[in-house]
Amino acid sequence: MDILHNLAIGFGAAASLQNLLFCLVGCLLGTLIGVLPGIGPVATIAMLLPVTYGLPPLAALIMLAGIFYGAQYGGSTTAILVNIPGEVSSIITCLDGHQMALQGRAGAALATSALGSFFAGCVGTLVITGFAPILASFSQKFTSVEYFSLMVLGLLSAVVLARGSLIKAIAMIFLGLLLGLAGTDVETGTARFTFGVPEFFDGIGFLPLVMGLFGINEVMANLEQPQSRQRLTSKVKNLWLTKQDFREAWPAVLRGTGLGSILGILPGGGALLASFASYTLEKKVARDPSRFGKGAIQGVAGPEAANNAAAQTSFIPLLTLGLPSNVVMAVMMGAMIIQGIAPGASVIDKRPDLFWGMTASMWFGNLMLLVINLPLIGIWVRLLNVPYRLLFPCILIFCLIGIYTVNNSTTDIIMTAIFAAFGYILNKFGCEPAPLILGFILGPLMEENFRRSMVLSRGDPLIFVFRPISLTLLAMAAVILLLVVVPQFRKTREQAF
Amino acid sequence: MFRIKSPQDLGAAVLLLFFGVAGLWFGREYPVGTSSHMGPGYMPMALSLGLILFGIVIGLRAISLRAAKIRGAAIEPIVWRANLLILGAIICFALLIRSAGLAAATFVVTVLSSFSSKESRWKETIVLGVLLATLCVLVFVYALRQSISVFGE
Repeated sequence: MDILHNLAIGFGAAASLQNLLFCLVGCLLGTLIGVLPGIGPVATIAMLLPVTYGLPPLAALIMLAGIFYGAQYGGSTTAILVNIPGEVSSIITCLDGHQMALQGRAGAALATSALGSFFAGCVGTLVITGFAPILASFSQKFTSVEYFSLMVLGLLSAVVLARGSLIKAIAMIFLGLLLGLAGTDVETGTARFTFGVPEFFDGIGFLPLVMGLFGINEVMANLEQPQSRQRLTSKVKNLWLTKQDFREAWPAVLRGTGLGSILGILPGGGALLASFASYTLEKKVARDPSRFGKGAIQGVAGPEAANNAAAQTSFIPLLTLGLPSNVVMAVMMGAMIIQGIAPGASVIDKRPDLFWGMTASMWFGNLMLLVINLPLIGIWVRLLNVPYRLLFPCILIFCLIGIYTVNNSTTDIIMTAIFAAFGYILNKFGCEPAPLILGFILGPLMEENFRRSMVLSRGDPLIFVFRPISLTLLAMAAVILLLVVVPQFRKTREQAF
Repeated sequence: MFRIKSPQDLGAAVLLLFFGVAGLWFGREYPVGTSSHMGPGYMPMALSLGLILFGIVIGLRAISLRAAKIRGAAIEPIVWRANLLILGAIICFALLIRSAGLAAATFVVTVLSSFSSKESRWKETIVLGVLLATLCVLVFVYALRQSISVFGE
């Protein structure tokens, strides 16, 4: 009955009026920005991060989590109504969701997406409840040797499952790791790559880096490729499902939820991968696969459930192992560190209210999204008609004020400009910024754990192979790498992305 | 002479070599230590060497001695005006936020950045600037109580 006890703590913490309010605000803000195309979840969370600084840690995390899955919801709405994925993970929803809308079944598509997401979110929360403590207690056996191997596995699988050239992605991890080492070396106190600038002694700011590479860079990329923006004039009617719809959708929701929950836990997995995988699965099991792409309700139900379940369970590696499995989680990790919480197994032990409160708040958040989103759809849709020329100055200024208010430092603003320019160059050279961010946030941790392992083994790198858990983790990393080199898998990977 | 097979990859290779060499150069004075007692220079050196290695491998794969067609993606031309306006707006924010305050900084950022989009109109931009400046002052200074001065120090 441990789980019930834990959930009771969680619901107790999350159900306070203040926390419910922040959950609601987070969900609303997340949906609002998720609806707006051209600004992804990473930039959304990073942009709204400063709003949470003044809050107590639990309220801050609840609000950030709300922003995150609110953005997922909002992204699907625009995918269905105007064929613009508000977030990458809703690209798949565009395929059948928008077709349904064109056939006058927008209401059914939206309801499927909302109900499927809600169900998946609930299951995702339960998975966290059941799975996180097990993983956390397992990880307490970890020494620095295992942690180092785990991070190697995490980083590698993150790039294997991402899009683009693999070798460039791994090179980006290295670059991120190197950038992450800038600042004062914890062990010896040596200032590294600080060039005598006092602001650099604490290292490169995480927020300027993320904002430059994602937020500002997204604006720059959007301005370069002006998209034709469709307008939706027809009204959304009949926000409910027929019996037939329901019968067709629920098995897909179940499958999507299962698939998403598993893929979310894997390092490198996450909402995007889950929605792709679920769509492929639905197409495989469907009696009539030719209906897909022409408004099949399963093509909305499965991926939507999958991406929400994965979004939820991708918190597990972060909360139990301190390992962010994608960039969104890296930003959450940055937020936790700013709040003075070191993500990892100790959170469950030392701050059970925090861990369980956040988990429980996800359930509240999903419920709120279901209740507020469907009736408010008219408002969200109207937002889509705001032209980008009015939108991007707002995004820009909110990003800048957000960065500035962290340290009241103009150096951070200049750094943001530098990273924006750097991100622009990376873009031109076809390099993904995501692995760089993951490397950056794990850089100091990897160095510390590597150093400790080497002290333990008196400088013998074979220690990573002689410990069974570490060996298993490294072997998994090797298998993943090998898989990518095998031509057949490489082909599917290229097709999938 | 060699031919470029993939311009993007060659660019990435040059970038990686640059960071690898810069890492080695600026990190040259940090004590490396031994592997059992790693100094502050150990990891930076290892990573810089790794970057150089990646740079060489990616670079070699991007060029060819024989005449080869461009297979990889080309580097898209840089749009200078729009991006310099955005970067300029950010720099202006840094210069203005203390001396001129949030209201002026917001207005300048809005107006400057707006003109990176060809669709912007003067009147509309100025109205947006005033509105945003008011909104930001209300939200960040009064509602969220951030310590930013409204009209400069």
